[in-house]
Amino acid sequence: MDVAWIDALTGSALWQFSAHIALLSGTAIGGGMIAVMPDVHRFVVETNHWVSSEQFTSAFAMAQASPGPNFLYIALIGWQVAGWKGTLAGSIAVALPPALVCYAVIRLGSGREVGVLQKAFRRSLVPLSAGLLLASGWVLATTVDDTWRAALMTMVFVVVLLRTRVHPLWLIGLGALLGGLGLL
Amino acid sequence: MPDSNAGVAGDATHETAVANQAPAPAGGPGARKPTDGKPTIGPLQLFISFSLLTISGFGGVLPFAYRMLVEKRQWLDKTEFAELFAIAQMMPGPPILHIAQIVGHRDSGWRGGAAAVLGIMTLPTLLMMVMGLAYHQLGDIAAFRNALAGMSAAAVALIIVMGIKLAIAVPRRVRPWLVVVLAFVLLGLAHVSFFIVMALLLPLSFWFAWKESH
Repeated sequence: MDVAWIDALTGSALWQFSAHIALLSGTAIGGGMIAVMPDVHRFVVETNHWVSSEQFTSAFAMAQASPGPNFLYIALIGWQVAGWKGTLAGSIAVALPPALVCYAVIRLGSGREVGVLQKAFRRSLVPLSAGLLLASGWVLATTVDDTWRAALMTMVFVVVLLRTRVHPLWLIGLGALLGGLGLL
Repeated sequence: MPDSNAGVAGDATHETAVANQAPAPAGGPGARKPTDGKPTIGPLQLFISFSLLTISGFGGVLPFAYRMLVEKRQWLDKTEFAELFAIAQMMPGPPILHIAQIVGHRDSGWRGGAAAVLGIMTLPTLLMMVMGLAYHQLGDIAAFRNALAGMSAAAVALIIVMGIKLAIAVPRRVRPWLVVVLAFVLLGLAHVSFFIVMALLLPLSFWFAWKESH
């Protein structure tokens, strides 16, 4: 039996990218696709060199500045891995495994008898999510903030976001302006 | 409802506050209350509604989902939304997709669930193709790259704030904080694979939470 086409398929960046994202989205409990960002970064930048660190963070920033769920940064990284097919594959890989899990949960129902387990499970997710998200922030910050001015801006924005109710889009716009003027 | 810049973390902390009072709905998340006289919502309407929702959401769609589902269309009441969110949090992947799917499924079965998820995904995916093309075309212009670098440095702040807001919700005890620190060190500093981190820390964190509730 000729399996050359299977090797060609599974050996392609498009396939490996999709499979990795599908595995992540199917297991990413607590924090969603933002919490798995360090792993996506490790896989596409460090392990496979499909995408540069700058492209990775640019994709993330562009997705944040666009309307739509912020996990769509995966689709934009998909574009850099394999063009529009990568975008499509990234979107499918993000949405399909969770949708199948959700379908299974809907069909099986979730009775009250597992209430205590559920409560413990939910409580166990909070520290985990916090740690994962802080790790994501750290990994992004160490790649993005390559000048002290950029690092300072990030820190100031963290304080502003914690202290005020300013819409984050204003800060992203301000960041674009300062960066575009070459001030960072 | 938390402010829109709270994003995922704001909702997550919101969720931990309400989750303890909100039991799982009887009959599972897909069941509609028998007393509910609202007309069913067809797949096409679900697709259109969730498409409109997804393109109106900047910096996270969840707060906008609350506005649409609870305040504007009244497909859910406050408690139902909190319950749905709690359930969505416990499933892998983006919570907004689960909320959309369950709302869709409730009214139009698996077709409704699929229509709602496709509604969330389709327009942003097309938009990302356009953005990818734009990056490809403009990526060599220095000012464009610098602007993107500035945007990135600002976007990082959003993630850090999500993490901080969740960390504030972590009980101030040794064991939960051990999980926070281990997750940060393994994933952020040691660059260990996400699967290994979860395989180690999910059981550990669950065990801690279980012991503390007994």
